[in-house]
Formats: sequence, C-alpha cells, structure tokens
Amino acid sequence: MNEKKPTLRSILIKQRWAYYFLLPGLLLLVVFNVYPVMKTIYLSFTNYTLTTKDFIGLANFTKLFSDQKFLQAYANCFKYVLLLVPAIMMFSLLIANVLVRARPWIQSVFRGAFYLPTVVGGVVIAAVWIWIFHPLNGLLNYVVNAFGGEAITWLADVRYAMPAVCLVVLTWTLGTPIIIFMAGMLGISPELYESATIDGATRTQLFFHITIPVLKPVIVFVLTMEIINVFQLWEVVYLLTNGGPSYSTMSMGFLIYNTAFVSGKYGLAAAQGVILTLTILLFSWLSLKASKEA
Amino acid sequence: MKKSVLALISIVMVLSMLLGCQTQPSVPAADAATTTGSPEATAAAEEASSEPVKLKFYAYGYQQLMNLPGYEDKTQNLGDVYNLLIDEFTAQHPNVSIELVTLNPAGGGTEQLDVDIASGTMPNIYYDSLLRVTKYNGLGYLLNLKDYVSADTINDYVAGSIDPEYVWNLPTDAGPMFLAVNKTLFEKIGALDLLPAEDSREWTTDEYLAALQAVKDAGIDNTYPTIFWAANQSGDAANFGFLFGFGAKFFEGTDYSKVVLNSAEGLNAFNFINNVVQSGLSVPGAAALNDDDMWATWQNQQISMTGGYSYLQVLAKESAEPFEAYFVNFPHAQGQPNPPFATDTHTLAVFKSENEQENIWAAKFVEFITSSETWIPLICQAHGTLSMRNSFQDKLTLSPELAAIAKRMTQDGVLSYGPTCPKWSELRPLYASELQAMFSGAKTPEQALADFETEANAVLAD
Repeated sequence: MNEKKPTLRSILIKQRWAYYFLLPGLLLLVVFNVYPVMKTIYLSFTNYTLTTKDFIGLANFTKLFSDQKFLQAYANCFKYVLLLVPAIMMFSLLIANVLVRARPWIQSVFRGAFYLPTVVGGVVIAAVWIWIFHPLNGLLNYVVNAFGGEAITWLADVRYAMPAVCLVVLTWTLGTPIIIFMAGMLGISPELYESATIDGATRTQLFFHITIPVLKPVIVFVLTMEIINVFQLWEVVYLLTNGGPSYSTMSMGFLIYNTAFVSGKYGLAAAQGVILTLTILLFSWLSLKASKEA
Repeated sequence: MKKSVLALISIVMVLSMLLGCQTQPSVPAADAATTTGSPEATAAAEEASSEPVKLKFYAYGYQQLMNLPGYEDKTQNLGDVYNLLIDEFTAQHPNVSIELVTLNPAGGGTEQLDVDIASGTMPNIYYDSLLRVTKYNGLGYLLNLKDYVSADTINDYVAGSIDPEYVWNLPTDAGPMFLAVNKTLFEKIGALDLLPAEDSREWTTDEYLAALQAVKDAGIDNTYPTIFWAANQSGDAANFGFLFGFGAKFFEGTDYSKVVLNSAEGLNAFNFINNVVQSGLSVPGAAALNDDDMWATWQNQQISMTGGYSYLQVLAKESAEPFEAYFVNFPHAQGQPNPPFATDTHTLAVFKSENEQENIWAAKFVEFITSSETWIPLICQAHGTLSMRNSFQDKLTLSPELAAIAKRMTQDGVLSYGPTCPKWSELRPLYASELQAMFSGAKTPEQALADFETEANAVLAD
C-alpha cells in the first residue's frame, strides 16, 4: 500500500503538542547556548574592548599565532590532555572494575566517596590542595621532610607545577567516569563472564577480552567527554598557580579569562575561544572516527 | 523531514547571529577633550536641577568597612557603609536616588564592572583603590571634576595627591606602605638596638640585614626573619618599598609609555631582595607564598618583620599572644636617600554621562563623601589610613605608630610609583611572575628584570 509521505506541515500539526512542550527548552537553548556561540564567533572578528568595536577580519587570529603566550597555553592544553586523559581513563576503569565486584553497600559508599569531589567543586578542592602543597605547612612536604628530603615548592617549580595541577584535576574528576563505567559494567551479562571462566579465563583476560570490548561505546563516550573537559580546564589553574610559574601551567580557558577580564580584550578572547572550540571539535570527531574504525 | 528540521535549526542559528550583530546600546565614548582637561571640557554650566535623578554607585566591598565604630549594628554586611552614605546624601537631596552595586572583593579585579560597562550599564560613581580606578581614566571614561567640585575642596588636598587641573579622582584616604616589625620579638632576643630609632624610623640595608640575621641567629623554633611572596600579585605593593630604597622606579615621572625598572638601581634592588630570600633570611618557598601567608605568619609571630600597612597593627593586637608592632621605613642603600612612602589610595571617581544632571549630582555626592567630617575619619580609622585633606589631619584618630609614619611622610613625601598608569593592573601579574621565577631560581635577577621590561613594554605599547 502506498502511503503518502507526510509533509512538514502535517507533521507540525500532528505533533504540535510535542513541539509546544519542546519550545521553552529550545528557547533556552537558543538564548543561552546558540546566541552566545554565534555572538562569540562574530566578536572574534572585531577588536571589541570597552572603547572599540570595529570589524577587523582575521587580524585577531593572525595575531594569536604569533603570540608566544597563546602558543604556550595552546601547547599546554595538549600536554594536559596527554597527561590527564589516559590517567583518568585508566584509573576510573580499574576502580570501577574493582567496585562492581563489591557488595552493594560498599559500592554505594565508594561511589559516593569518589563522586564527592565532583559535587564539592573545583574551588574547594583547589583550596584543600593549596594547603597540601604549601611549601611551609603542607602535608606533602611534611611527608617529604619525614623521609629526609627538602621541602619542594610544588606549585612554583616548573618541574612540578603541571603534574601537581594534573594530580588535583585527577582527584576532582574521577567520580563521573567511575560511575558511568560502573553502570556500563553492571549492564554486562554475567553469562559472558561465567562461560569465559568455565573456559579457564583469568580475571585479567576477562577484563581485556570481555569488559573492555563490551564497554567500548561507553569508553568512547567518556574519552570524548574527558578530552572536552580537560581542554576547558581553568578554575584549578587559576586558583592553584595563576597560570605560572612562567606560564608553564597556563591553560586556554584561563588565558581566555585573562584576555577578556584582565586585559579587557573581548574580541581577542573570543578568537581564542573559537580556536579552542574548533580544536575540541576536531579531537571529538577524531576520537569518534577512530572508535568507529576500531 | 530530517532536512526540514535541519533547515529550521539553521534558520534559527542564522537569525540569532543576525540578532547578535545588532548595534549595542551606546556606551559613552571616551572623550579626548575631557581627558586632556581642555577648555572644551563640559563645565558645570548647568545648575543642579531639582528634577529627579537616578545614579548608579559602584563601590568595592572593603571588609575593613564592616562593623564601623559607633555603627556596628548598621555596618554588619559588606557595603552597608555605602548605604549609610547614600541615605544621608539623599535625605538632603530627595530628588536624587542612588542605586548601590557592591563589588565582590574576592574578585580582586574589575571584572564585574567591566562586564557591566561592556553590556551597556555605565556607573556614575565608582569607589575603589586608585590602582583599579586608574584604568578607566586611561580609557577616557572619567569626568574632570575640576569644574564640578568647589575650589576649596580641591585646594584642601595634600600637594601631589591630586592634579588640581585634571581632577579625575578625589581620594578619601591613603595608606602608607612600610615595614612592620615585631618589636616584642626583638625585645625577647635582646636586639632592640638593631631597630631604627623612634624619631627617624629609617635605616640602611646593612642595618636591616643585621636585624634579620639577629633573628635567624636567635634560632627561635618555627620563626623566620621576614617573608617575601610571589605566587600572585596580591599584596605586591607591600614590598615595592625595597625597590625605592635603591633608587629604582617603574616609570620616569608620568611617562607610562615604557617601564624603566631595568636599570642599575633596579638590578641592585632585585639582587638585594633575591639574596634575602636565597640566604635563608626569609620564609622558605617564597615563590609559592602569597600575601595570605604573610598575614598568617605575622599574626602567629612566625616572622619578625614584613612589608605591609597599618592593618598589621590590628593583627598584632588580635594575635593569640598580642605583641607590639613597630612601623619603620623600608631600608635604603648606602648613598641613596631615605625612600618616600608609597601609598595605597582609596578614591572616588565620576564616570562621564551624556546627562549633565547626572554628572552634576554624581560630583556632588563625591564631594559630600570626601568632605564628610563624620565618615572620612571613620573610613580612615577602619582602613588604618590617612586623609589626603589638610583640614582633616586633626580630626583623625591615629595610633602612635601611624602618627609617626604620617610625620615621616610629611618630611619624606609621598611616592607615586605607578598605580596611576592605566595598564597597571596588567603589569602587576607580569611583575609577580618574574619575581616568582627569580625566587625559584629559574631566572637570575638580570633575566627577570629584562623579561619584565620586555613584557611590560609590550603591554604598554599594545
């Protein structure tokens, strides 16, 4: 039987209530997401400051690619991704793999414990770690001194500052991937594990040959999410190191904040934001493409 | 269907972009004529009208202005004092209504005000530290109050505290920066004689080092001679005095086109400061410390002296074991004169408005505050600062230590070290960054100075 293809008009009429209910959300999306993004793209082509607002074409972008501070912040973003994302993925997978085997009440306790830093927020986490890293009264240097070492200025030494920031971010952001991975693992049929165990598979083999392959879509999702989050890192950098020492921990997020709100160069900051967005989009696309091919 | 929906979304996105490209509400443009104080500057040719006027007052939320003596119940919250000022002024001028915006002190910068200006909301009156207000002078936003404020008020200001021809701000008070010494600790180690005499409060760098060494040699547990910090720019003005003691300066007069700190004098100063840090005379880890560490170590008597301002005396009294604070000048190198005191000035400014009545009444409000015999002494007492009005000197309740410093200020003068540079807020983090690199050993003093000069001049030229 040939059915007439529904027209847009007929769909809109038939499903109008669905669209009515979607409309408020769509309006919010346009006002708070779409409009700011479009406006930012427009501003990136202007010299918008408190006193000027002229269209200058690609001048902001050409200026950025000859600006050492921008290039260092941009490079730092890739360093953060290379240091943090594998660590987050590895630790969260391992912890989730251990927790799924535990009793439900233990799962709940540890799930809450790991997720607590995420809920508490970056500012509080940073405040605690500033004390831990304190050169004089910090817990870490207390341990170092106890082993006979000399106190280290963790956040002011270019050798240690970035790893220190990464450590803080790791403790802060492990919670969400753990919960997501646990949910994924709990959804894997136990029969797969049972039959593999009967065939003599070890725990490690179960993990790598059953858990990981079945969790692949979840892993890709978490990987993409973490890459996006790490690229946008800024509050921990702002609170712990202010981008120093010598811009060694400067992130794009913090640079954008500085350019906009300290230097008052909103157009240039918008251009930085556009470059960051395009980079994130590229990485997200690459990770999705790689996962499909795998 | 999918294509139609995609087309609809695209149309929405394009429409929102077009909406975004619309002309913004006009923000008063910087007026070059007014910034140069030329005769074309809009004089108060109009009289103050009794027509209703609405003003916006942006004021920094100073925590010291809470719980003011005599007004404790009315100043319990941040910004309450400004409401009292507004109430008193509007009671006298009922046609004026003033909306207060208290700026969050945790921000430390001008972000909140900048965002409001960028979105078209211009304040009329702004109260903050001079080093933040100056930015708007550089942008040409501020009114020359010369023609709006009485000549008596302008002439009453201490020489050098304002430019009588271009009055872009009227200070309420100014706090000198000096070295605060824990006199109780020096008494305990029997080294009081190493401190500057009470009548002069001045000493050389050698005498300063001898005092620090005495504290170090005393070997008191968990106590250090002094503290330096460079984790961020907060509290940087507390230590600029060490530069001036060597004759170094940030700018040549009011030529803000380039910094001149990278000089022989600047290098001597940087070498001196670095030697204090590297030779164990300062709290370890200076590169990772900030001014919060300075306040804490001072109050806990873990340091014998520090750069700072009169709030240190309050902390000394409120310490778990109260001790005596002794204020002295920064040391000067042999052959250099005793450095003038740098000050942290709190000031009021008026943003130019196209509505002349707003300008007139905003200027009247500013003059009211700065001339108030009730509020200025209270503000000075709360901040631990001095009034910049000659007629107010006998109205202030100064501690003996602050009075001694005030006396020295009248003899040695007051130094304008750079906060009137419009881009000072961008230079501060650069200075802190180079100081941090020097303290951590990543750069020599020469490199730190040279890099500061390069980066600072790039910012100033931009």
